[in-house]
Amino acid sequence: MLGKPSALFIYAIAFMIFLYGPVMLMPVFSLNDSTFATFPLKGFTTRHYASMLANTSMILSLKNSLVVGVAVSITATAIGLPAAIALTRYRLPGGGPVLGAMMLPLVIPSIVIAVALLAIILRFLHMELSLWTVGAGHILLCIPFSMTVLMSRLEGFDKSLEEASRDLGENAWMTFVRVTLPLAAPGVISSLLLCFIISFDEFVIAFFLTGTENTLPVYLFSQLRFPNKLPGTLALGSAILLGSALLVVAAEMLRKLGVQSAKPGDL
Amino acid sequence: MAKADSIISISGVTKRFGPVTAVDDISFGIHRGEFFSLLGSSGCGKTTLLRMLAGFEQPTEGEVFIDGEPMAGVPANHRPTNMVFQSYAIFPHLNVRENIGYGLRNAGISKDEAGKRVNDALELVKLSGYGERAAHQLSGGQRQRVALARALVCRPKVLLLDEPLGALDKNLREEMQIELRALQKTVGITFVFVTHDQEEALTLSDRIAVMSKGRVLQIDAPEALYDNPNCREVAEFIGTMNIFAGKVAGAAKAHAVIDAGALGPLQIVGSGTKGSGVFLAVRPEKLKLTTKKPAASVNAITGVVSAISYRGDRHHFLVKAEGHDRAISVSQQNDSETSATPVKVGGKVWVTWPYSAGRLLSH
Repeated sequence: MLGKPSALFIYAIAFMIFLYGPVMLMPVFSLNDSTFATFPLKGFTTRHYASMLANTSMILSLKNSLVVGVAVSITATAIGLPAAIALTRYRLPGGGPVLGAMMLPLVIPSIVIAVALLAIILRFLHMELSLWTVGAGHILLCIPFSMTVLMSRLEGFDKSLEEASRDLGENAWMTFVRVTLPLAAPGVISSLLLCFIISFDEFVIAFFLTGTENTLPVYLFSQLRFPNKLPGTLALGSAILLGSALLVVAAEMLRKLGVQSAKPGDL
Repeated sequence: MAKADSIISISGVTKRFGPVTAVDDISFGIHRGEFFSLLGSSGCGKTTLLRMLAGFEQPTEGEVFIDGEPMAGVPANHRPTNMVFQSYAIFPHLNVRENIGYGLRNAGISKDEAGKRVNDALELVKLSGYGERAAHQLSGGQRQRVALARALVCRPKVLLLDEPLGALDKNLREEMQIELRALQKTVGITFVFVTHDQEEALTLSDRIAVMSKGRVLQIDAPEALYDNPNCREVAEFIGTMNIFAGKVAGAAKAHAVIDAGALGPLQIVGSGTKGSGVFLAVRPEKLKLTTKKPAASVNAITGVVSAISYRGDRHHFLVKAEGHDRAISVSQQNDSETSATPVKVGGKVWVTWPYSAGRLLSH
């Protein structure tokens, strides 16, 4: 092990560089005293972070994305949870086709969904394009992901746990609150995070369905034409990277603190 | 119908799942304070019947009364019953104390009182000091105790147990049988116990209902079921039973004479209509093996030993007799007289039993 590194070890290192190299360059350039993201590095600066904070339209688009992302993750998970429970727990007539229909957005190109939604919203619903329409599009996109995560958690859930709760005097609602929800909690947290990331990251639907307010990806795309704005973008990217890393760590700690068992069907 | 001492009264209950009739027109009562078992092989309807008592299933026809109250439309959470599930259904996100105290939230008692009851329950099932354990840290036997405590702490009128010992290994199961029986005597609550294990039912129960294909075949105390089965199916389900088919050929003194075909005439205490098809049932331990032709005052069948198995306290023999499809089971205690048995596989023997040892079954 300490002698000649094996071929597999070198391959693993190369693979990690391939995966994370470009991402890691971003914080480096964000601290580089140059307008252009190129080598050689010229010197340390925090001016890009200052210009990022001064860029009110960028901060506003970030806020828009956060608001849409949070609303979408909560809504999609709230819709996904009852559906996932129904599909995993009961043998529903037509359960298969229903599941298929709900999973369909996974395989439809988002450009197709975006065009279709745009046509529906403008032609049939006569709604103004806004962050609301972006959010609605994102919910549609997120539900299959939410369902996949939740169903894998609820799979193998011992039905007698809920019966035991009923038997011990709780009604259907309190059984959901005291048994089903706590056991599904890790899945719910995963679903919230996943949906948030999908919405936060999504460009095509947001680009088609947004009105005057931009989400962050749409804003960044519009700024790519101006290279002198790029360093502010790199600073923002680095800040988001740090933020999401903290979020994932926090969620993981929360999950470990909460439910000890790995799976609901463990006992 | 509802006798005064019946805590549970089942009246004409039928349960159908689509085209399948799981429980078929059952009526009987369960006495207050008894240990009652529903015994039958899988698919006989025993679990469905138990789930109708718990309120998880509604009868298609008929009615269930618990302590005189009709249970139609009463959901599980409003019934004076609690259940120990086959899988135990211990809540994995709660510790032992929280599991046991789960049902006390709606009991209308103070926190202190609830805490005291949980402590008492922990002591009752010998789990004092385990209260803070997480559910996944418990062994199979401990989970079983938690499930028991969780149900008993609610002070139900009837405790329902769905094969609670099935998941335990043999030694632990026997230990738990004894504890369960003692526990039932201590708390004095009516236990309704579902099992497919006839030995378990015999050990634990005051009375047993033997079920088959959605019907109750016989309800009796363990000794009565073993000694006086009312039909061939019960006879064969409880323990091992040799069954000889034949026709009533006549009577001799207080005995019926059965024409058992190639096995010859067999006699048994009892009577039957001449010419009617009957079964003569006799337990393996009532049979004797001899190598010499016995006296004429007992039933005797000649055959060849096809297998001998040693069971420690006894030997078990299988004897093939001409004109009888199934090998005859003979069980002999290994006391000093018979331990050095001269019988060998392939040896010709006589199987004998007195006229009073068998039972005459009409179906």
